[in-house]
Amino acid sequence: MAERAGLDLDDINEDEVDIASLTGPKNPKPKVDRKELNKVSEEAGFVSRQAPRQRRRGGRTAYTQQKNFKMRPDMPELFADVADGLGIKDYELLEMAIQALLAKQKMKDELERFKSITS
Amino acid sequence: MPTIVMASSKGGAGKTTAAVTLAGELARQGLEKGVNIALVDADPNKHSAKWAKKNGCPENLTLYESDESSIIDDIEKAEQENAFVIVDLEGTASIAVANAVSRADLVIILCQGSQNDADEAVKTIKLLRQQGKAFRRDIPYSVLFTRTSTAIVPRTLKFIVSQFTESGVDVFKVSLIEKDAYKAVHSFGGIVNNLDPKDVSGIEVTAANAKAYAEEVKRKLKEIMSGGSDG
Repeated sequence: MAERAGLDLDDINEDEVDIASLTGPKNPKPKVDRKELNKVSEEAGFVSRQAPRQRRRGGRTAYTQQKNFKMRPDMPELFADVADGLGIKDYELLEMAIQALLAKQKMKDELERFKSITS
Repeated sequence: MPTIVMASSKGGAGKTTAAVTLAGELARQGLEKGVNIALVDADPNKHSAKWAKKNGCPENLTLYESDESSIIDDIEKAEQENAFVIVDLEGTASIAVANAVSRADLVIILCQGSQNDADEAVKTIKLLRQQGKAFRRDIPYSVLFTRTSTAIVPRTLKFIVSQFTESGVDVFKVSLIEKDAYKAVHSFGGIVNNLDPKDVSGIEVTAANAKAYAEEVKRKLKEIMSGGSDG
């Protein structure tokens, strides 16, 4: 028995869409609240993958000014040993020394300034 | 100004290949019509960006490098400056993906013919449905199979396709075939059509596949813009 001729549809291409026809203005997408978006995303298991910012160690310090001065040989080590012995930092030792000197020398105005700086 | 986002929470599914291929083909078609294409790369690995910076990148294609924190703003900027925006993302379930798809006119979900890929595709589909409910905007999406063979269709792939279609998920008729030319553009730069046959085989078949893929994207966009939607 002779075979029927098939329909030769294989080489018919669907109409191409002109790329320019897709570029017209369109309705803007509604803005979404970002916090709400994050919440929905996290509930769906989509979480932030960015590394958390490095936190600064310790709190903010009041000691922000730098002063360099010379010392006699071995004095830096003595200074450090005194601070360690008292269980305080170098800059705290300096302040204690200044306060003690101002009180001993009865330099009242300077002592007032010291108290207002360190309060 | 359609925005098309490539999404898959599984690495290696073919997002960059799909993004670069679509961007390149749309740029090729749009060059003489003054149509500009944006490629937004929010993948920390920046593979799309590396391709776009090589010689041969179409002159009407602009690269935007982005990340999780700026992706929405970068997409909106790209939309203002270009006719088409294509977004490449990292292969993880990240906020960057969620942010990007929230601005999409079409999400292409990449899937190889494996159960693992299919499971990850389902994750993305669920995200889109949840966003759709939360923000009252259904985000059109379609599954694009990648790395397929021109010779055979494995049973696992057939099964996965049938699972998606029986669940009402739209699936591309075209798939991205496994061809060396798709990899070669990352070595040589430019688009498949401009590769040298001395360097790579199968250029014609690959270029035809790229064109067919872009044509199906355009048909889907036309349907979406006229009020119908996939997904």
